[in-house]
Amino acid sequence: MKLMNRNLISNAALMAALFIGGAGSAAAQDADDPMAFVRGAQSWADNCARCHNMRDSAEFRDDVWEPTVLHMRIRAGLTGQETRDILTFLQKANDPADNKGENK
Amino acid sequence: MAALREDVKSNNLDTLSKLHMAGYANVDAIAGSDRQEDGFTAARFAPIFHFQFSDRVLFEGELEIETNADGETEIATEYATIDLILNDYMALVAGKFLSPIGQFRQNIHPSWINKLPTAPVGFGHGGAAPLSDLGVQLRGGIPLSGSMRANYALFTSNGPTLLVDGHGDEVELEMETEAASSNADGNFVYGGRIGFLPVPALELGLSGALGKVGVAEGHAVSELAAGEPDRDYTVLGADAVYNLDTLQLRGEFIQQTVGSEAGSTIADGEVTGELDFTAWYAQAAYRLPDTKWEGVARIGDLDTPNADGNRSQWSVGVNYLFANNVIIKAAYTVDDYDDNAIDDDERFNVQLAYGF
Repeated sequence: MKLMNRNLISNAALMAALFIGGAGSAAAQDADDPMAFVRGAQSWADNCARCHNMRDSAEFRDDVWEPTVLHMRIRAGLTGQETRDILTFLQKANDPADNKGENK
Repeated sequence: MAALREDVKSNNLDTLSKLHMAGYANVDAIAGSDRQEDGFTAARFAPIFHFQFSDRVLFEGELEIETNADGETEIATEYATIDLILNDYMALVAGKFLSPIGQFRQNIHPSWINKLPTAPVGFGHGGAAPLSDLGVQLRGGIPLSGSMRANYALFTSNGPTLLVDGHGDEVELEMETEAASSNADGNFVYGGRIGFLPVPALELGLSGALGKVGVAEGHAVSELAAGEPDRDYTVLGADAVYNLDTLQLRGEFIQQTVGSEAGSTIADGEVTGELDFTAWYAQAAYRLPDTKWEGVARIGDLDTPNADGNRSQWSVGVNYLFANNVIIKAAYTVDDYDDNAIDDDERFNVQLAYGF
């Protein structure tokens, strides 16, 4: 039984290594997506209040939202796309000027 | 403003690594209980550390720092995990993590999130719901069709230990589900949870795990009772949450089962039968529109092999939200014990909670 458990863990580790090696970052390609803000607003409204009261985008600086949203991705079972969209929404909503395409 | 922006940028805030401290704190008081003197009962500080490297790696750690009844400070690790983002739909989480069984432990227990000052009966330490695991899990989200989504968590861990204390009629049984760095029985527990969201406002969850657990005497899990066989272990959970405007309905059921073992000799052979540890709760919370006031009601029940702890519980509470993350809660709770020889307990709990 112990040997079987060890084999299972080894296989899981191998699969994990393959996933890491094969996955690419999609953050850059989403940065200029004009619909990311809209999708992010919808995902923010759909997901956050399921567990906790909504948090205002102005509570944190843009850079602080990054680990916060990544934490919530793990916690809430969000997809990568939803996470990036929500981050875009929170960061842009944090600075209305950015939302108008000004003063980035 | 432009100069300030330049200052911020020059502080390397766009580097690959980011550190962020979040968390929560709460101060509690109790009154009216027959089992506890009136007074202030908790000053808890639970910092959560996030260390992010690029957009692919995150360390998360939560400490729980609390003043105990003797005035000493207790520190515990709620969770500490290294999270690797494998792709858009999967993350590998390794370390000590909150139990993926059900929802309350992993997502609702922080004081600024929990809508009542106390955990539902059976969902705290010594209850029926698993607390935490040391192991690995894969978790993520899956888009289905339109706004329909699913999320999942699959894990393997050291698993819990059955604690047996006392002999004969005085025997007390407890599922020790706090993650430990020992796996004295050499067995792993395998399980997971799947959440289904037919619409964004509704999440239905099913969770479960199985494996074998060792049996220990007393309260230490690193050394098992000599000659006591390992026993089958299963846990099943179901949870649901529904949000409609400012109304939130939430419920959860969890049952841990330890299989029977005819060869058991611990506690003079009094623990040979199947053992069930069951808890459930249902909760409704309603925030008056355009106000800072919220009302909460919850019912629940705990059923374990320890007859003196089995009880149903109901609570009603009122919350005032100074902000969405700064809440003062006042609740009235009644514990109705199954054993008629044990007096019911009624009490008021007040809690000031701050999530940051």
